[in-house]
Amino acid sequence: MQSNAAMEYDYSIVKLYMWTTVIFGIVGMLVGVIIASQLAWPQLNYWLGEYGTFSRLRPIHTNVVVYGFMISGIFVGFYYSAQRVLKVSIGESKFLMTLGYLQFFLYLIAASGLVISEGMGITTSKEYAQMEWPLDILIVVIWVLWGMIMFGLIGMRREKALYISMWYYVATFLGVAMLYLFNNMEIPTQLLSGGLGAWYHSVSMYAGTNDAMVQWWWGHNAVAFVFTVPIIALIYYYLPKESGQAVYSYKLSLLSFWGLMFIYLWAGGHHLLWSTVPDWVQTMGSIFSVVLILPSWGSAINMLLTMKGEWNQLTDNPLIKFMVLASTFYMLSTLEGPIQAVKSVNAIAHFTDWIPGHVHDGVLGWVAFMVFATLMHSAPRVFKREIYSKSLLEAQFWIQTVAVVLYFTSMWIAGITQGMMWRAVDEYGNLMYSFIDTVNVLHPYWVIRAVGGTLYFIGLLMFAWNFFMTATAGRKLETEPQFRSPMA
Amino acid sequence: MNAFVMKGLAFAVVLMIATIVVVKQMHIDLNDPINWITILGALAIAGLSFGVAAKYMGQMKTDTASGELAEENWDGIGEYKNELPAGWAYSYLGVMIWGLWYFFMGYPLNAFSQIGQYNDEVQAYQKKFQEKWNNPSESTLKEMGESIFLVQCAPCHGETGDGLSGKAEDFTKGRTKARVLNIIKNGQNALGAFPGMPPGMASGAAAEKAAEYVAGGCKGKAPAEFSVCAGCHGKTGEGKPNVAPSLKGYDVKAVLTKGKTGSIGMMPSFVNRFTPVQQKALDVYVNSLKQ
Ligand code: HEC
Ligand code: HEC
Repeated sequence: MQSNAAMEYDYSIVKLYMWTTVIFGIVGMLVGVIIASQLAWPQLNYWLGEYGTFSRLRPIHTNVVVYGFMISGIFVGFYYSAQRVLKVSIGESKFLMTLGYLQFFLYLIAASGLVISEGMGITTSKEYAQMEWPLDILIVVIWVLWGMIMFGLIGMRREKALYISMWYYVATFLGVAMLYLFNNMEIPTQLLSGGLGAWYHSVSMYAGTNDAMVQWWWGHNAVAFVFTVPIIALIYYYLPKESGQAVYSYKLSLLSFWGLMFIYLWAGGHHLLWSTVPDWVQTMGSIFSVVLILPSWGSAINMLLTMKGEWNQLTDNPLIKFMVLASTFYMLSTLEGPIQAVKSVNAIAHFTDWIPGHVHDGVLGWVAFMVFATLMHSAPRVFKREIYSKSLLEAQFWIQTVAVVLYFTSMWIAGITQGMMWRAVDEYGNLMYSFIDTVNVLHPYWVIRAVGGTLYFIGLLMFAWNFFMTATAGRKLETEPQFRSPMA
Repeated sequence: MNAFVMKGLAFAVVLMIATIVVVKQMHIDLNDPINWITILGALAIAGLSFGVAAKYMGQMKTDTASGELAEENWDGIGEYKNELPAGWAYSYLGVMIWGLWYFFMGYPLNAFSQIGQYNDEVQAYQKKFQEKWNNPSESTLKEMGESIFLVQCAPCHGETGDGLSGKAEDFTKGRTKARVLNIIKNGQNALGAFPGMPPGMASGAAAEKAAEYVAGGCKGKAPAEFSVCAGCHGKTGEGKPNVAPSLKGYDVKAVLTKGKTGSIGMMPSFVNRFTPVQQKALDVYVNSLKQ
């Protein structure tokens, strides 16, 4: 450990990403509430012509929450916590500072370009890789800049060993870089066809089954390296920091990290079970998915055990509540996913509402909860102000917890029922239900989901208000709090 | 077991009961292996997640943090050098061994074909089906026919067989006299299973009489006027393979094997899609729809 003299860190880039987190969060989740309502009340599809249809809005929802809200939140966490665990201010290097601003503004352009182009229906139609080639190139530049900043900071660090969060940030960088490049190998049609088609249009370099395999190698690892790995980086910093508790076990961190790295990359095949990809690829995807339970649970258990004996903090500090529940939902979704990846279960689960249910106990319960905790823990240090309202934060926690439970339980029941109805046969071996029969049965659950989504969105607005007031009107702090964030 | 774990498990149980109640309302057969494996999987997800998470929540209340701290410290964050939780470590090891075993030994890595498995399963099912419905009664046939019809035929013919306002044959009207007269006058070349029928095989009162007999389903003794027709359609209109269709109602078997493309549109062939019993069942059902 180095001297204890207080370090001054530069949070100007953190602040920028904080605002994009909030704004993209509101946009993305509002669209989410709209499309959930469209599924329950289809008339809502027709209020904005082609721009208001489910098919246009759905990719906007997923991309804005993932690449807008989530990635912004991750960059908040990175620019905030990396400086601190490496004990180096990004402000010490003019060069890195410039790269940081450049990275943010390019990010803003790319994210806005994404929303606009998808609104216009411009898409490669690969899930989580809808962006066309000009945006893809921009993303690569942004990512390279991030890598330069990260390794620059690591090079300048004053702390000899790298903290666990840093391993996870590095892994995020490398994992996404590799997968993104491979999956977005595409050929701009106009350039190579002598002028056919629009300038922004492209076709994938792979075809058919190969394309599907590469796509879901990426698709699944977007979950791995965007929804999981960097979020673990966040919790490894923010939970011990907010609670003042030492991490339970270094060994557990280490084994979970390497296990996750090795195993995650092989699991993507489970998106293509019962499809035309070779059976051994499917089986391998299933097996690795099941093995993946353990390294995933390792991190969650490590975090829960870090809080051993800290019941007071749990009841008394809403930020701790967010993070402990996030670990729990992380456990739920990392067990649910692998079990849905078992072939027999997948025969029911695939294409049903159980899958979006699974995604959302991960993203609403785990990812978004961690992003909220990240912003709120960082805010008092960044703005040097007290958190504006504890009771608002507490209320947000409970409203959103109810929302997640409504969302995942309704989709759980709906999905299992749907899957079983689809393959139910009568005594003569003929299908018992037509598609519309399932729609009639599932309708109430879609209404429940829309209600859950609305509640979550209300919680988000409370958060946005609380955050805005913290940044602008919270009581001024003289000294930086060491652990627990002060809140009024 | 402490109170926390009980609460976690209680939540899992409530969720599972709700799931099973809803599924059961839809008459789902939970003895089907895919279904019970799914229910078991769901139970494992809910039980383990909430049970184990609740166990650790309990430790927040009852346990205290302890262990030897590592020398490093990052921004005030320390790390214990605690050992791995044993349950986790052994499960991890166990799952990894299982994974290797399953991929290289349990699973026929180089000798498995999905198509082969599909064919085997279909064959086994067909055999069972044949045994079960070896000699079905007329009413069973009708029920079976309806069950098939609702899945395979209703999309075009409508759930009641009314042809969805002219999208396909309206079985409730059946073959009317006017239509038979039209066929006699103009001939027909629509059924894949037969050559065409030439126009003008009869006319005037003779045609009327023959048409009446056919529209009535060729019941009883054929009138003399039918003898022109009988040359091809058989003495009482029972049809002759490859020559002319049966006129005792619809010749469902012929239509199913070779389809029909007539003035309404195209009726696809369903060749090899049904067993003989199923074909008979469809025949009985379709020909029972006339009102
Ligand atoms: C030369 C042989 C021949 C004679 C004689 C003949 N038919 Fe036909 N008939 C056919 C054939 C072959 C078809 C099937 C035509 C086709 O492919 O659509 C047919 C079809 C029909 C159909 C339509 C059946 C269906 O399922 O679409 C009717 C009704 C019919 N004949 C009535 C008569 C009547 C009544 C007579 C006597 C007046 C008659 N046919 C005389 C050969 C004959
Ligand atoms: C893709 C739509 C479609 C499906 C599915 C379909 N049919 Fe048809 N079917 C038609 C059409 C169209 C006609 C009328 C053809 C014409 O006369 O132009 C027809 C006519 C028929 C006829 C009358 C033939 C005659 O002799 O006049 C029978 C019998 C029949 N279908 C039985 C069935 C049965 C049984 C099934 C289910 C196994 C079935 N169809 C499924 C479209 C369909």
